[in-house]
Amino acid sequence: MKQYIKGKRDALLDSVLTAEEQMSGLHSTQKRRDKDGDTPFVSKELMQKIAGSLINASIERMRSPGSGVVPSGDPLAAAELARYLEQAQIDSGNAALNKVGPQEEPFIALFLDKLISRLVPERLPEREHLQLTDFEDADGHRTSPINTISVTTLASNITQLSERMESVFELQDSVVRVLSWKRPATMVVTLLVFTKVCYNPMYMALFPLLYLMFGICLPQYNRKHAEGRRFGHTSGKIGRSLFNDLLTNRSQSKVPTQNYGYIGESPTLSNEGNSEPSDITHGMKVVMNLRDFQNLTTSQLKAVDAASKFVNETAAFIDERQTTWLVLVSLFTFVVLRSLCPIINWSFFFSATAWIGAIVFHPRVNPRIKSLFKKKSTVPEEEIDTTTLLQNHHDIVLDQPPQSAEVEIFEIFREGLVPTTWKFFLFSTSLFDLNDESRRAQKPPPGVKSLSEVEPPEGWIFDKNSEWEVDYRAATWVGNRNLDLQIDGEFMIDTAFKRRRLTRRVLRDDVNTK
Amino acid sequence: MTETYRADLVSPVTSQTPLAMDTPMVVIKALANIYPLMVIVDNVLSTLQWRTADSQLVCVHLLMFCLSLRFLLSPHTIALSSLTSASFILDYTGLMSTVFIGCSVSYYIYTVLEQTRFAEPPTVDDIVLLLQSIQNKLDTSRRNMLRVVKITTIRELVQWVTLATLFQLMVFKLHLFSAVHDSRDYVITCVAIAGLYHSQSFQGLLKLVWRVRVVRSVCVWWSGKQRALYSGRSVSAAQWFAEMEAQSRYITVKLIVDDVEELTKINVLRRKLVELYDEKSSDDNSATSALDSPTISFNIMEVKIHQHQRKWNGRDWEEELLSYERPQYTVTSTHNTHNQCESPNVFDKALPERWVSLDHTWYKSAWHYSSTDWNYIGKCDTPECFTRSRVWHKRIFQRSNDA
Repeated sequence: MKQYIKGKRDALLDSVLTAEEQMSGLHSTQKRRDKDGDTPFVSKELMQKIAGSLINASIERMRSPGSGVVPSGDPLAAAELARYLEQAQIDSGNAALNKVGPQEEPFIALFLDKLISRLVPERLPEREHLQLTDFEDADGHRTSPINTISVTTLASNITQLSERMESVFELQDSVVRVLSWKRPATMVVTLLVFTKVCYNPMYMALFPLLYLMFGICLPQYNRKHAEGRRFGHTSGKIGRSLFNDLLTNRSQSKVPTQNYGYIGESPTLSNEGNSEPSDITHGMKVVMNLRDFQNLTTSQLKAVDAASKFVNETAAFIDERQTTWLVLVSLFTFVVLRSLCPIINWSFFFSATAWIGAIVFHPRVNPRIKSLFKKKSTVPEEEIDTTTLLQNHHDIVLDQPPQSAEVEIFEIFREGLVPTTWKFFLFSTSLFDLNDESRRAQKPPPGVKSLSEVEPPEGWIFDKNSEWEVDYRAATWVGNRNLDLQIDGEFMIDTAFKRRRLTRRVLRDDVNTK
Repeated sequence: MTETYRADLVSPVTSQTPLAMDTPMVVIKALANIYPLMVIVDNVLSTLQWRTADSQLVCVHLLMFCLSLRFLLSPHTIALSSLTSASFILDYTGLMSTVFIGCSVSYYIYTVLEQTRFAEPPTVDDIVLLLQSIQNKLDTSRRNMLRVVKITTIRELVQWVTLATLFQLMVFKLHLFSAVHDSRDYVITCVAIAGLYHSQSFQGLLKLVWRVRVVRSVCVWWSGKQRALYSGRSVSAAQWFAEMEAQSRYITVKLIVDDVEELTKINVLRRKLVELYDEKSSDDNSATSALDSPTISFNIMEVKIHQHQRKWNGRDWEEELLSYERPQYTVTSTHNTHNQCESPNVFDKALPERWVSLDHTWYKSAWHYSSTDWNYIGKCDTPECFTRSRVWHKRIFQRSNDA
């Protein structure tokens, strides 16, 4: 009996689901049909879709309690979800999520997935892949790469990424630390390595090999097979190194150099404002990484904006003078560098530049150099504006004439009550001949009563040195339009109307405007 | 609010009467037969001008062509001792390129013939459009060439021959270009430059380089056209007045003396002289006076100073002009050539002895707007106007000596 009722309930739910899906499909086609005109029902349709998704998710949820199978059709998403839920339970013990079992999809995620699939029903265009589009799964079935968007996968990816990005930020920190001379020995070693690479690029391949051996593998080996040796006490903390005292940038350093002791373990490097490394809990780490991730994306966005500004404004002849300068300076630099190529010792040039740059930007040297230059320059920096300097000079001649073209309009006359008398009717772009739609509908064509009301096409301006001129070669323009109508002087005449063609010169309105 | 009504641009391609109606069948057949040839020519021109969709392919072909040339122009006997690995690789790729280019050309011709044979025969309009495309491309190439090298006079021919000789000397005797060692490198370099020259990017670069003021000055000097717009001569106000006086470039009017008292008033005298000047300039023969009335002769000279300006940033007019074109102020001499001169204020102060201003102020004509080459466009400022001129007028007078 119970089994029978369960079967009936499932059948009912199935039929509800099918009906709901069909309705949704109906709405989609309706929307497509409405695409040409205005779609006032968009918000209504959206509501319908949300409601539909809600019902759908609820039904899915009702069908699968305790079934033990994750209802999602995407196995990868399901696996990710399981991992995500596990993590969420372990980490925070979130009450809302706790109600859901480890193998069960949270209702909100299910609802959002359904909603997204409703809102984006068509197959999304695929990105280019290096590998073939189809790949085989473990069972040997050919599957396509995942092409649907899933909230759970996305959320779990972001969570995992924010945890795993730690090493990336740590790397970024250590690079900044080295470049800002907080670790002078590392800086000098880096410069030496760079010099070696400059003189022989083969070291680009050799140094990573050395690093793999001595930087990664052997420390791991030593850690694993330490043979019970422990150097708990070291005299490194007592006494100071002249090299470090001379070269370390301690002005901004929050971490005392002594902490970096040469004990086997690398020190936990704290960021600014953190009191003790041991205070950093797992949750705090995640938040820190999220903050860094946010900063990273912000700076990435800024970089993308800057790049697009350069491509679409600086290099796109918006300011003709600026872009011309850019091209010419690039050309000049290219020619000079190409000519000097055989003479310059590039290895020395690059390595010397690196060393000089590193020394100049040393936090102790840099202020002194700046003060040295400040004394020498008497003109305040604000007054020197390179852009105005460029603008005021007359080194670039911007005299490319704008594109010119011709516009036409027809002056249409209507036959008066007395035959052969004509009365002005309209200025129109339409010929208003017998085949004209307005003429057949017995309506006047779109047009104006006065020539002064006629505007040039978008992006063009009338040439003020030209006026509207009557085209007296009526046979030519009539012939070009494949019309076989009576011509009288400059007019083309049909039963009740005659028209003549007026032309005027127009100029493009976008050249040399800056 | 009234809606703006915009005129239509005249489209360059209008629907013309189908040519098939007027063209004789024999001509259509002949054109259809050479259609594949025209397709090939059009494609070759497209490739030379880098107008194909795949410009990287043109680059690869040009490189292969250069390598092939290098191989074909190699000395017949190769000394094994001088054979290096680099030259061996270059020779080998050159041989491969030669073979590949040969095959590629044959393959291309074969595919064109194959496709045109089995495809629908072209209409006369198709053929005409293709011919127009060929003509446009040839025209573009011709203009590209003429933009740089245009020999119309013996002077230009001598100049170019001298430059070419100097260039050869620099290449072969002084070895100033490290990449060019011998005639083979020279030929390859020339071919590569010729291959790049007609590309749209290269032509665009040339146009940008032409915007540099120094480049223009050098080019105008090279073409010898720097004296077309003004003589290059500078004339001071005193010099100019002296010249005008020497050439008697003034008109003489006879003033009938009715009332001597009245003539001592300078404003009255000026008014009368202006009237006489206007009469005289409108009709030379009207200067008749009553025989018995006493007259005084006056010389009236019109000083005309031309003022010129250039639009530099596409908007504002500035007094700065290019060195080879007219300076800001010019006066015309006997041959109507423009000579540089000082500003009207300086002319005011430098009036010669016994000459007095007839007009109180300078009259300024309306601006005349011209193209960048000083070709007159009109009286309104439009985006295609880059230079403008106006004339400052002032009359001066003196008592004539022969009175």
